[in-house]
Amino acid sequence: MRHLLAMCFLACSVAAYSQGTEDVLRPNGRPDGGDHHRHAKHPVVLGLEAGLNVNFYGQSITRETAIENSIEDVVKGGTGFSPMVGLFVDVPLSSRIGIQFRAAYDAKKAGATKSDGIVEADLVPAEGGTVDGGSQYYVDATTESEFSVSMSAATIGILGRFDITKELFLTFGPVINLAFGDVTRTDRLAVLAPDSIYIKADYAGNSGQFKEIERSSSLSQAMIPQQAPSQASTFSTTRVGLELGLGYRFDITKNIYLAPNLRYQYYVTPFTDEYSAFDYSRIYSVGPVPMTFGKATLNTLALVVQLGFSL
Amino acid sequence: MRFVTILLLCTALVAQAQDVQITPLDGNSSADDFAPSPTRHGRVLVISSERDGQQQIYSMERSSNGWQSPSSVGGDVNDATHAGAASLLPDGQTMYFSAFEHDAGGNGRTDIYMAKRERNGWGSVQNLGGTVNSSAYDAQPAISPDGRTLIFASDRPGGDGGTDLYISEWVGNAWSVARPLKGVNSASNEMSPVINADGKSITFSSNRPGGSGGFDIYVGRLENGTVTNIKNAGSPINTSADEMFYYSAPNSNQAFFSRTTASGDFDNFSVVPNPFPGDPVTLVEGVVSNAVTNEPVAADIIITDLTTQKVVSNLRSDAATGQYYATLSAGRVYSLTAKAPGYLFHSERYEVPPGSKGQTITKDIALSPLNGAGGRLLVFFDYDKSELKSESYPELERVIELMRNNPGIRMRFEGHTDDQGEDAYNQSLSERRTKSVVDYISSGGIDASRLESAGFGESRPLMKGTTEEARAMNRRVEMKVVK
Repeated sequence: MRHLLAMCFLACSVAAYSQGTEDVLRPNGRPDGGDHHRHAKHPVVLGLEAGLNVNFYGQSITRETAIENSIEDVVKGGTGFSPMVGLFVDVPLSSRIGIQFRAAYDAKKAGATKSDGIVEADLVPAEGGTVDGGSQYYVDATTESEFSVSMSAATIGILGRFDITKELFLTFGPVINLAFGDVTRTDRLAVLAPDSIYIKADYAGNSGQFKEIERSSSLSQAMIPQQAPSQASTFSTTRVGLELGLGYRFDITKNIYLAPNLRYQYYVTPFTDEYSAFDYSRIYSVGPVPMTFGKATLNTLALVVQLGFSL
Repeated sequence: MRFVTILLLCTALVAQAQDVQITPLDGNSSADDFAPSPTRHGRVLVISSERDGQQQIYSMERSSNGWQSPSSVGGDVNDATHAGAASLLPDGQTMYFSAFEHDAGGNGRTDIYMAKRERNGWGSVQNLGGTVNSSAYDAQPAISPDGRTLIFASDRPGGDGGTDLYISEWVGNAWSVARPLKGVNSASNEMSPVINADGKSITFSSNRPGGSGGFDIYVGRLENGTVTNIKNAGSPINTSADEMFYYSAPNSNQAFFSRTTASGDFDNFSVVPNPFPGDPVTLVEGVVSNAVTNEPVAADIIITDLTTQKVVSNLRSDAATGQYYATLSAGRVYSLTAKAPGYLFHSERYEVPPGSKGQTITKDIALSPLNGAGGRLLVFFDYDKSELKSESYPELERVIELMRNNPGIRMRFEGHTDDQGEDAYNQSLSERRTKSVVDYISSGGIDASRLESAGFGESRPLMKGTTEEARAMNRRVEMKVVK
């Protein structure tokens, strides 16, 4: 919150910088120091905006022993699309500078699929004996792991606007993303090969022979269930970030304009905390490998169209 | 006796002051109204006002019932946080103004801009650039009637203190680097310069010590970039309030200026009679029209003083009405050239009648369409000569430019002589004159196939008679556009 307040102050200060009382008659403003000007040429704009988010999820994984093609690596990067729709108010401070107040329903969704993950799986002797006639009773199963995170949220922003030209403008300022309820993470794990290999239990712990298992939770955790429940992290539902945007106004009428915007939201608040777990994908050949999931990030590139009405 | 003399002098001064009527101008608002700049020979006042919450430029026309209500000038001029203190050329087609945060871009704080009057309002707004504007406050421009001298106020570093007056001159294709206006600046503030229609008398305001309080109006003479004979306009113009922007209507006993009221805002006032009129000038006005249809034509008009060979006025006729306005000097001879796309240019020698000082003269101009007939241009020769006169070159250069810009047209050149000499000799002389003109045009890169020529000797005089005037008129080559 301290960051948010500091950034709000910064945005307002930058925007207010050029608001002087100078005019063509009085280089130093009125003798009484007052500003009688209403800046009527630059009216307050009320508007609607809607757009498409391209979300980028990222999370680092560090292990004490390197493992190639672990199914856990699926979370290292993911993308996804989601909609946003909102309202904005643009308050001009001068002919080229203003403040945009925004509030939007702003869903976020991102995920990834990894189809070459390897898990060392038990071989049942009755079904196939040892591998290559030797004493090895496991096999490298090729898996497909998939994860996604999604949430319904609101994003509120207070951004400074700077007009580079009459049409082209830059926006910059703090945004805060507030999730409605918990973030949902969905995981899916499927065995692709060999055909004889099955997953012995689903994510709920029910025994069986599963080719594919799924789960949905509000935690960030390893794809292979961990023995200790603490080896997970909740998702942040309130995140503060910075947005930089570029827009271009097309006048439809004297009082209405359409402005495509390209914006990038970088969130300072991590999406998850850092947490430790074990990589069990090489349980026979290497054993449990301690690993650390870094703080996850979820940033957004948004293509938004604003429809503004001058008041 | 001494007391009586002083008493009589005071009585005379009071009587003189009482003769001057100062009345609020129509159209004042409760906010700042200032810089009442007359243009179009006093028919239009361009004012600045903050009536709508920001300073903008308005115009008001004179009618039989006084001044009409101000209306915002159209176009792009007012696309700024503040725009105002406009100064216009006499033709009312070119405006210099100051603006804070204009959409056309600026050098920092308030800058000076130029705009052209177009069919749909004021457009082509241009910042005057770095030779005039600085990162400091540059505002309140005053443009001379010939459009070649610009004086303005600035608080840029290096001045004598506060705001000073600076001068920049048009040097062919750009404004010269602004320099302090000599003779006028003080450690106090100098602002709101105004150059009268005569181009010589100047007014400005200053809050220097010794005045009536606040800003006072001062009058002076502008000569070679220096202001001389400066004096305080005194009572009743100056009061303890602020007075600024003192404009004298040309050839009129009326003046306009701005003064602060009890609220601290400026209002515009009218002064009759004007205690500080400029020198009388000859006001030339007329309509540029299509010679065939009589419709108004937007033309560029260049007036050159033939004695000094200096361009004294670059002006334009109004796109909607064809009207143009110029301020010239009585008794001087000018070259008057009007050009418009799609028309044969018009060029003539024009002598302003010597006794016309203080008068308004009407001079209409008809332009012949290139696709029509009837237009002709003349080049004159000395007796028995076929060599081009140096004064003909500008005319021929305009012909070359016309043909370059209109590759579809052809020109016919017909040579003539006066009545002196044998017919056969004159026939040959007329052909040599034609050849001189055709050769000159060809040297400008015009294909010879577009040039027709013929000589007529003395057979087709322009003016019949044997006077020297008639003979001079007949020693010519006529140029006509042919289809």
